[in-house]
Amino acid sequence: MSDSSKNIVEFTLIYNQHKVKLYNYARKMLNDKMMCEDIIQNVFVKFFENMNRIRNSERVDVWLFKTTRNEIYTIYRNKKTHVDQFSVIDADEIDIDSSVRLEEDFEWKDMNQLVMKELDKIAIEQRDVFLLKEYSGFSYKEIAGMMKIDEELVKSRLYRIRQKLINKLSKVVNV
Amino acid sequence: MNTNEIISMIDLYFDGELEKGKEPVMFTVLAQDLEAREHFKKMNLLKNVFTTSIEQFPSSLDEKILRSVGDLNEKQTAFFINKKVFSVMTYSVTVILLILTMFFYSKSEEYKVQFFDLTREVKKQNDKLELLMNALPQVDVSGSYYRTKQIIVRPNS
Repeated sequence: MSDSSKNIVEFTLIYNQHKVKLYNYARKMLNDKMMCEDIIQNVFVKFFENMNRIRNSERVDVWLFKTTRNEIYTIYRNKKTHVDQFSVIDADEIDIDSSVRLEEDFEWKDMNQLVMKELDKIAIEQRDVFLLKEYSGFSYKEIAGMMKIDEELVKSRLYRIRQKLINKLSKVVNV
Repeated sequence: MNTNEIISMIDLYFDGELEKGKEPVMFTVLAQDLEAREHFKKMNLLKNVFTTSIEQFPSSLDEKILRSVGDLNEKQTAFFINKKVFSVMTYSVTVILLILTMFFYSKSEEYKVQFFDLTREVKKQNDKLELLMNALPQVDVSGSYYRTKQIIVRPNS
């Protein structure tokens, strides 16, 4: 097998292993399908170009998430108005709307939408911790390293966001 | 163990950070603590909601990525082929330059020997000329060309 075919095979294996997680992470961070697709494409092309160097120097999944995250933050920095349009508030400030009274047999799909809608209201740095944990499966330490914050802060952010989401869900579903 | 400790243990469990040895302890405590059990159920629900929220990877994006990577791979292959040709060319030029250098060096050595021979010959001729000049008798040269319009050469007695 030639070097180029070997590269393609190795890339495809890594690509298939991480594409769904990475796509969902970017999708929920950005809420813009087109932009998300552009980012994912850029990240994988960049990865292919530097595959040998990356594999020798660090963990592939960490590199992929880190690069995707950087691209997302670049977009947020370039389009500050984009952040504003979500009327982002801190997780602590989220008020559970008690007027929402939904039926008992709330479907999964609706619950998803409810959670995602709630997640959109949370500040990007806090949402980032939660989505990284859910989709990348990284440890607290790895997330802390990636975000350059304290491990305890990762834990507390996760706890707070989960509490908010659980509270929201509890309003519509009897757990 | 208080409820807060159990709740943080449950969070660790759902994050995959709870030590394996502590899992049985957690489940034992869960059986006894209603509040912790409720938290566990809620966490489980949230996890399930998230698991079902995972979107399929768009096939159009799949195609776009694989196509661009394929193109990139072809370009890289072409680049490496060109690189090989370039290496061969460089090697050949180096060899040719080496041969030319050796040729010109030997030529310069030849010229150097010839130059030394010629210098020696000229020196010999010069010595001979000096010898001849010294062998001629001495003479007196007098007179002024501007005044008398004549120059007188007389053997030295």
